[in-house]
Amino acid sequence: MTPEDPDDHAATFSDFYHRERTRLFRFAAVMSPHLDHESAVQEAFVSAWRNWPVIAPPSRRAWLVKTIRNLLVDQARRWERPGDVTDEVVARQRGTYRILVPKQRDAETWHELISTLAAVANLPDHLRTALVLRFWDFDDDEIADVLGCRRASVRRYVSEARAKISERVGNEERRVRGSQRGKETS
Amino acid sequence: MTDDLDPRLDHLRAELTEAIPEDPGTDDLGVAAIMAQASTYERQAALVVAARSGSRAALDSLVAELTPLVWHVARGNGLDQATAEDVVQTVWLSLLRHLDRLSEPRAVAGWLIVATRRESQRAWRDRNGRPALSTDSAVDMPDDRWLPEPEALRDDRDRRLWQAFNAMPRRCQELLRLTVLAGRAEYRAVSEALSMPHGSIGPTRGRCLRQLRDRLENDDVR
Repeated sequence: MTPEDPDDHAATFSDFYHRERTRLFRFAAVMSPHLDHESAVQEAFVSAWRNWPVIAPPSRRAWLVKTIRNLLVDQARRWERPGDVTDEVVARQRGTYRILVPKQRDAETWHELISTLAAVANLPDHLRTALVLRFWDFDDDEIADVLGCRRASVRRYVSEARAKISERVGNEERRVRGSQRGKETS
Repeated sequence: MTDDLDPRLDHLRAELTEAIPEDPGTDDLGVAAIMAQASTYERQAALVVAARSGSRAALDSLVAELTPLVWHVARGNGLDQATAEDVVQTVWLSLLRHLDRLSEPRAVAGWLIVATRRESQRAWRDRNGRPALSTDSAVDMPDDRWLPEPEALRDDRDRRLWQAFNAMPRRCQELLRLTVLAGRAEYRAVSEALSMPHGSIGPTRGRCLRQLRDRLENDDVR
């Protein structure tokens, strides 16, 4: 399967890769903090390149998100089988939350971060995907494309996901610590 | 209740944005590696097709290219050297038997991985999973295996090793993965994948290993 204009494909792919990889890394990390998100993203890019000419340009990002999601599911399944526990897997499993850099901070803040992340990770798959994509500023149309549902459903999923998280992490006392830090994505 | 959620999520987002920073990398190293990996599949597929039609040379290069992979999967499943060697043989033989039935030639590496894993588990069971512990079999049971202490030491060593490894610059990690972890190094392929001059792979690899050792030693002191 050779693309008819290899140079052009290489250029658009390289562009796309530089533009999108960080966001996709972050997406995968929040989706499955206990899995190897880096290799899932890397593998998804490899298969994106193999299929590059046939992926319609507007749905490239959605295509990658879907692939990453499938790869993460594959990884999770692999881990259920005891025979596959290699040294690397064991080492990674210990650092379930290694995506959050442990640094000097008080126990309460740390607990808050971990429990929010855990609440997100424990959502049902479609709610989690909808919420995490929204979390990293994907728009409704793209989320609908990934989930194969209507835009209206995306909104519903996101708010349902938020409700579930609030329920889970509770609302003991007002958390003000986080509010001075704004959104720094995009 | 939901008012509470936004600051929480914002905080999490800020932390994660910091943890996984925007990588300015303007070089095309990553892209080159991805393309090299993708073309690997194509090349392997072509080799499978050629081998199917009876090309001995194609089969030989397929074996040369993928044996390190098979070997690593076997060893990764806890086999010792001698058993792993047997497993590698068996897996290649069964690939030969299945060559005609392989429906997706590009998936040959995946097929090998799965076959090796199954075969390794079978071999492992044959060795270790004796149904009943008789006095006879207890005598020749290796007693340095699965003892809590060596296991804990090994676990600890592995954990520290991978931690140090993960803390290294990505370029070093890539280079070590390609040269050291993947078994026999194909320097030409490595230099293509990392767009690195052939001659500097050896020295850089040495520097990376030294760096890894330094990190491990510093870790010990702490």
